[in-house]
Order: sequence, then structure tokens, then C-alpha cells
Amino acid sequence: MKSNPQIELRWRRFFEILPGFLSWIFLVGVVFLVFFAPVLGALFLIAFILYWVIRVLYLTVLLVFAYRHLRKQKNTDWLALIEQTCRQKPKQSACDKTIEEIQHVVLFPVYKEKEDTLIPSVKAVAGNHYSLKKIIVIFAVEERGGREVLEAAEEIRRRYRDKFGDFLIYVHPDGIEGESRTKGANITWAARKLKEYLDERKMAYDNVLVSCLDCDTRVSRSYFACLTYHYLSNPNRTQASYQPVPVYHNNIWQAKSFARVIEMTSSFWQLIEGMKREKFVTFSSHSLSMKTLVEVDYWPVDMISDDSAIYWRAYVHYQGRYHVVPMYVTVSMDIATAPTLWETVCNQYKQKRRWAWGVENFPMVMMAFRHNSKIPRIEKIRRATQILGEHFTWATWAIVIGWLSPLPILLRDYLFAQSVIGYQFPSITGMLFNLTGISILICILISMSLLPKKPANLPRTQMIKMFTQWLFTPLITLFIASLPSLDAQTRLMTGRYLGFWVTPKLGGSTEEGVRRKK
Amino acid sequence: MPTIYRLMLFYFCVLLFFILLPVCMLYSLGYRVNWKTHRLEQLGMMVVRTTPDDARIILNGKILYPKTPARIPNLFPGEYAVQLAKEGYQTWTGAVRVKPNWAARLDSVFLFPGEMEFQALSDIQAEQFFVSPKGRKMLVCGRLAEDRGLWLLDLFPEEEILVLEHSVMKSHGLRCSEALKITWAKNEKAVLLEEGGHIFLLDLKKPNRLLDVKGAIGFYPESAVWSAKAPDTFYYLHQGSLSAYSFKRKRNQSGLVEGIQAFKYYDGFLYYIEQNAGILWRWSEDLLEKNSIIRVPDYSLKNHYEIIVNPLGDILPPLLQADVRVNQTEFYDLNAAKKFEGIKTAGWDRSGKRLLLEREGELLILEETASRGAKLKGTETIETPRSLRRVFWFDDEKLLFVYPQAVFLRQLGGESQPYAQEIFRFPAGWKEIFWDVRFKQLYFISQPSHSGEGTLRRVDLSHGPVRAFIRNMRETMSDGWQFFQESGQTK
Repeated sequence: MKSNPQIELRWRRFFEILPGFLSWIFLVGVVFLVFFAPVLGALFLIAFILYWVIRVLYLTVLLVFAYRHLRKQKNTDWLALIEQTCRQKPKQSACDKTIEEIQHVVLFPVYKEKEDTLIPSVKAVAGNHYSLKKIIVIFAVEERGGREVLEAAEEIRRRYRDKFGDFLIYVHPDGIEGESRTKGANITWAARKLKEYLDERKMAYDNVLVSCLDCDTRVSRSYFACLTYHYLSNPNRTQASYQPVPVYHNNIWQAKSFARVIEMTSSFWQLIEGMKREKFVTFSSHSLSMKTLVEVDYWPVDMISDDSAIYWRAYVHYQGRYHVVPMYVTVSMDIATAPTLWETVCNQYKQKRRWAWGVENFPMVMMAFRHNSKIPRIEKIRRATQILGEHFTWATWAIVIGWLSPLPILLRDYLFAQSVIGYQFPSITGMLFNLTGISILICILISMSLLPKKPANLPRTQMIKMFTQWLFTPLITLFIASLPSLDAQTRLMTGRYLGFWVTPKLGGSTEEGVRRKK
Repeated sequence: MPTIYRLMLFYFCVLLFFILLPVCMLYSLGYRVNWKTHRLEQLGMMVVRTTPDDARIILNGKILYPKTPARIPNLFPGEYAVQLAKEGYQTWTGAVRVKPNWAARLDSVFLFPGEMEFQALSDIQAEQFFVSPKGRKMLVCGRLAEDRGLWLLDLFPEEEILVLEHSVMKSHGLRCSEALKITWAKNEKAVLLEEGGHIFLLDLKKPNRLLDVKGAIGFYPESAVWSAKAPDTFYYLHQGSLSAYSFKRKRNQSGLVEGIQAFKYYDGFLYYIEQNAGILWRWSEDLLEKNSIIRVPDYSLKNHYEIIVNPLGDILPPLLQADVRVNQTEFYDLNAAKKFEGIKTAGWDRSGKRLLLEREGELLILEETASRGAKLKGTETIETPRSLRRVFWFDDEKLLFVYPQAVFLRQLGGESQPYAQEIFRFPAGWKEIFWDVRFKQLYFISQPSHSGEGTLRRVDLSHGPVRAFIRNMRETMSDGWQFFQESGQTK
């Protein structure tokens, strides 16, 4: 039956409105409850805080396990592991292909970035413990980025071309109909060109692994080996994406303290998400088989959150039989920062809002579910609830904890008159919040352990800052934790769609960055 | 981490949540296990605050660890004997009833010094005194050595100046008696003296020079009040007409408002009842405009009205702000068209939120409700013994009860626990008492002799910031002293 476009549009709008609506209704509802039924409101807030504290403790346990995983696998010789696995269990899927058959493609989308951002990323690829001749590097350059950018890309290509199997530059024309000005459109263009390249050379798609990395991403030395291992050892290798752990170490020693804390918690979040495989979704830099890319028709060309959208596309395409494999290797990126504190705050806010714009996946997924009868209903409900729940939680938790839970304390005389709960509320919530101190301590310890080596020309007091910066956590909770998400959901709800915002990259190595700052 | 372990951890956390949730909720509602009876009981608590802080709390004879201000949680419902003790202060004793899920508040308990000081303000043997509106000056009718007359007393610090000699008073038919009424100008630089219908003006910068109002305007008006806006001007009522006279500019403005039966001036606004029409009006001194407020119910031209203006003086909501007492025995709440009979006096607290009505044998406390078209609702009735001589608002929540032998502080009910507390006993008899609510000073004439003269004394009942302010005032030059230096009239 042909679907009515009007009905489809209405459904789509409904799904676009739903997340923001639920978040706002919830927040307003809590305020109403506190003012008009203060005892119930206080009890609700206690329940919410208790739930949150237990959740934080649960996530902290997962974080510890994830961190242990990361530490354990840090020095793994992945290639040797493949060989060992094949020797021991030759019938394993890892043995139906050899390492030599696997071709890696590293795709860097480039807009206005110059050598100081691109060269370190290319160098990191070149420094991998892997046969560089099995790696093709592609710069997907936006035409609208300008001539200078293209020239810089060409220069880098000239310098590094001989190191790799090949070094390609594809220029994405501006203004193609049906495309938005997004990274997804750029890398899709490059991927289509890559397909032509592979077809000319008669390379099998399922032998090609495409790693789409942000242009400031510096892969760790064992990245490609680890990726190859996970790909070969996965029986459903082409129905999977491969997700490394993003860390923000490129400019960690130069960035503003609170920005460091925010990005570290983002890394921790990805570590934790990797432990929940049934819910894991791709984020930022990730890898997948060319076969998958072709079959799902590449990344969306009109969405900002292409990194997660590709997952959902594949999920729907493969009728729910698609998963993300967490790789416990790191890829390092820049912390969104700026010369002044205020600009840094703004950049952080905008970046988090762009990440939160992943809520646009919800209507996309729901619309796909509507027309898909092969994915079991229970599975659809589970995944829909997952997306909705995550964005709802993201948009509301910090506002409830940071802004609304003090209301019964501040307005006690007005709200509670003389009931005992008005006096007990601060002591109970205080006690619960104190329990989260354990989590913060663990986060501090893990973050210190993950830090790259301090540049020699930075004073030792910088290490103390790395410890004390976590004092910013309450402030961050108040302003950056939920507001960007609520902003994104509200925009989606009201039809004021977000444009793609490019995170400013400062560029340079850690040492270079320090020298430049001085 | 294997999925199975993760799921186990997840469900463990869910279980933990559902176990801890009722525990937290019950705990926050005040439920505790009574280990004696092995039952879950809902407890109450007590909140104790004193001025000054740091008083020891003794509950049912047991000294508690925290000092005031303190919250004492986990109290089984019942009555508790409470003592609040601090060195150098009188121990406060009272009983507090704790109810389940209720925080009994013993708020703002004032601790008074163990030794109350009855400061003699001056050597003047006083018959009468009149404290200025700002509380910094006083006019005293009395005798100092051989000089008798009207004295101007600066209260902070204590300095006296004879501003009206007895002979001058006598020549104008004025004498220190209960019939003498003195009204202060807002700037404390002039007063109106009235006795037997005769009104005189005294500029305190020009001692012994009385201005006969009749000489200025041609007659003695029925009443006169000072303007709050123009310090040298007073309004007077004569045959239903309101006029104004400026004694500095020697200018008379007659017939500003006509047809007045009764009026009350407050802070730039004149509230009056129009004769025959029975409408309550509000006239603005600044704008020279009037607005009608309400028609007075049961109006009669023969009635004597007193308008009790709320200290907030705000016209909104209008019906609350102007209340009328009819025939001196009834208090009429215009909002609710409700009458309270047998009322002797009525007075608002400083906040303008509570009204005290005094009746034979009891006091009624009325409170402004928060509802629209604000009304007064009765919140408390206090029985009073016949020996009670005067009642004052100590602050917004307490009353000062003055008996012939002692002074008590009475905490009103409401959010705080009500209680009564003896503050001090008079060392001897007293006559003429005045309570300065702003500075918390009690003035009275003690040990009156047969002639009716006595020593003017003051008891300082202030605390904290007020006490510090008074101390500061004492240390700086008083206005009176300064202005007398300027006029060259220093004693």
C-alpha cells in the first residue's frame, strides 16, 4: 500500500515532537509537583536522586570493568592473536580470510582544517604497527572549504603518498540537490568515489574496512591491528560496526579545566556504553566494512548525526541483526576549546548540542520501524524505548538534580510550613549525593591514569590541576550536562533544525600546542 | 564483563533501589523504629532558635549537645519541658508539644539579661512624656531642680534642654496633665500642643516661643496633624473642612477637602469619611486627588469614627487598608462587612499583617489572608486577666503584656509554638508607659510621688542588630545636639 505523504509527514512530526515534549512535560511537572503538592514533590525528588545515585554507582562499576579491559588490551599483539586463534581453532571465522587480504581505508573529512590539524592525524596512521601498504588514506575535502584547504591537502598527499597503499583526495562539490551541508554528505560522496576505485581494482567489498575518522583523530599504534582482529574474528563481520574508545588527549594539557572534565566524562561514557553491547551505537570515529556501507547506501546526506545514523540505517537494513563491537583501543581527538573561557564554554555547549542532536535519529528510526515488519515488535519497542529513554534522561537529569532538587530546601518555609520532611530533605539528599563522591574519586583516578605524558615544559602544578578540575563537576552539571540536550530536543520539537557546526580545531601536537600557547 | 554478570549487577541495583526507596521515604517523613515497642512510629522534631544564639537546650531535664540555633530530630510525639539557658541571661522555660510529622518551632525566643537595667534617663521629675515618632527624642513635662516646664530630651545620648518654661506654659493655659496632648512633626523639630481645645505650635529651635494657632488661622481647629511630606505644615480640621498651615511660610490653604466627618492622616494620604454620603475616601497629599474606597456600612452622621490605617498605607487591596471603628466600641472589618463588638483599642503590627483588637478580658488577633480582596481572619484569641494594663506589639509575632508589677512577652501561635515569658518585674510602681517598637525600648515613669512626678526610666529590650544600632547612635552626635549648636541655644 502506498503511503500517504501527508500522513507520513504527520507521523514524522509526531516523532520529532515526542522527545522534547516528554522532557518538558516532565520538568514542568516536577516544578508543579514541588509547588502544589510539596510533600509529594519532595518524595519524588528523593526517589529521583536515589535512582540517580544507584545508577551512578552501577555505571561506575561498569566503568571500572571497562577501564580494566582497556588496560589489559593495551599491549595486546593483535596480529599474533589472530594467528594464534587460527592455529588453535582453525574453523573459527578468523581463518577464512588472511590479514593480507584485508584492505584498510582511512577516510578523513576535511572542511577548513589545515596542515596543523591534518598532519598529526596522518602521522598517527603512518605510525601504526601495521603494514602501511594495506592502508589507503582518503581526504574528503569540501569544495566550499576553499582553495587553500585543497592545496594543503595536496601538499600532505605529496609528502605521505609513498608511505601508504594510496593517498586519495576527493572534492565534494557544493550545493548538490538533496544534500545538506553536513559531514555525512561529504563522506558519502567520498565513499561512492571509493567504490568506483575499488570496482576498478576488482577489490571485494568485504575485504575492505573503512574507518571514518574526524580530521583531528589520531589513532593509536595498534588501531588497525585491533580492528583487523575484531573484524576477522567476528562471524557476522559485515553486520557490525567497530567502535574505538574516543579520548580527547590532543590538547588536553592546554585546554580549559572544565572542558577537560566534560570530554573525559564523554570518554568514560563511551567506555561504559561499550559494556552494554545490546545498546551500543556508533559514535564519532568508527569503522565498518565497505560491504556494509554499500548495502545500507552509505551515511545519510541530510543528517548531522551521521555517526549514529549509519548504525540505525544498518540496523533497520539488516532487520535488527546489526551490532557494534567495542574495540578497547583509543583514538585521540581535540578538546573543543577556544582562546577565552567564554568562547570555550560556548564551543562546549555547541558541541554537546550537536551530539544531542542525535535525537533526530528517533523519528528516523520510528519511521523505519513503521514500515518494517521483519524486526520483531518487542525488539522495536526495546530499541525505541532505549533511544527515547536515553535522550529523555540526558535532557532532564541534571536540571532535576541541579536546579529543581534545591527548591524544597530554598522554599522550605513557603512550601512545607512545619512538616518534618522539610527539614529532613536536605540531610537525606545530602547523604545520597555524598555517595556519588566514590564515583567522582574513581573517575579522577581513571582520568589520571589515562592521561598522556605531561610535556616537559609544563610545571608540575599542572598535575594538581588535573586533580582539582573535578571540582567543576557541580557547575558542569548545572549548565552543560542537560541544557544542550534540552535545547536540541526543543529545536527538533519546534522545527528549528540545527545546522552543522564544525568544532574548531586548534591543531598541533601536545608539545607544539604548549609552545604555541607560550 | 560477561553479560550475565552485568545483568546480575543491573538487577541487583534495581532491587537495591526498591529496597532503599521506601526506607528513604519513610525516613524523610519522620518514621523510625521504636525499639521499645518494635513498631514503626512517625516522629516529630523541634526547631529552636534564640536571640542571642548559643543557648544551651535542656529537654526534659537532659542537656542536649547542640546549642541554639538547633534542630532536634527524632522526638516521639508528646509534651517536652524545655529550658533555654545562657550565661548572663534569664533562663527561658516552657513546654513544647511535639506532634507526628511536625516540626514544632520554638522560633525567635528572646533571652533577656539576667539583670535588667532600669536606666534613669534624666534627673527630671517627670509627670508626662511624649516620645517622637523616630524614637530619638522625647518631650518631658516635669521639673529639674527649680526649673519646671517642658523639656526636650535627646535619648541617644541622653541630653536635656528646657524648651518651654512652666511660666510660659501657664500663660498659654497649658499644664503638665493628662489633658495635654503633644504631636510631633515628622522631622522632630516642632510639636503641636493641645489642651482643652486650644492648640499651640512650638518650634523646638525657638524655645519658649509658642505660636497660638488661633492667632495664625483665626480659630482653634477641632484637630490637627502634621504633614508627612512638608515638615513645617500641619493639616487641621474645622467644621468638616480640611486645611493646611505652613508655619515657616506663614501660609494658610483653606478648604482643601470639604465635608469630612472623620479622618486619619497617614504618610501622605488622608483617609476620611464624607459627611452625609458615608463614603470612605482617600486623598493624596502629593497629587491633591481623591479616590473613593468604599461606602461605610450602617453609616450614621451621629457616629464617631476612627479610621485604623494599615501601616503599609497601601491602597491595594483597598478594603483591607482602611478599617473603621464605630462608636468606639465596635471594630468593623470593611472587607468582610464583619463586626467585632466591645473593642476598646485596635492596633496593627509593624508589618501591617496582623491586627490586635483589645476587648474586656481578651485579645483578638486578626490576620490578613492571602486571598484576593484580602480579608482579615481570626487566628488567635488570648484571654487576659483584668490586671493587664497595656498591650503592645513587641514584634510581628510577639506581644508585650504590661501588668502593674511585671512585663511579660507573649509569643503568638501560628508557625511557632506559643508561650509566655516573664521579662522583668518593676522595682516599684509605674505610671505612663510607652513602648518604642522600632528600638525596642520601654519608657515609663517610675515611683510616682503623690504629686504624680517620678523618675523617667528606660528598659532596653533590644537584641542583635537593633542593639548595635543603638550603641552606634550613642557614639555619634545626636541631631538635637547638632541643631542646638547651630541655633546657639545649647544649655
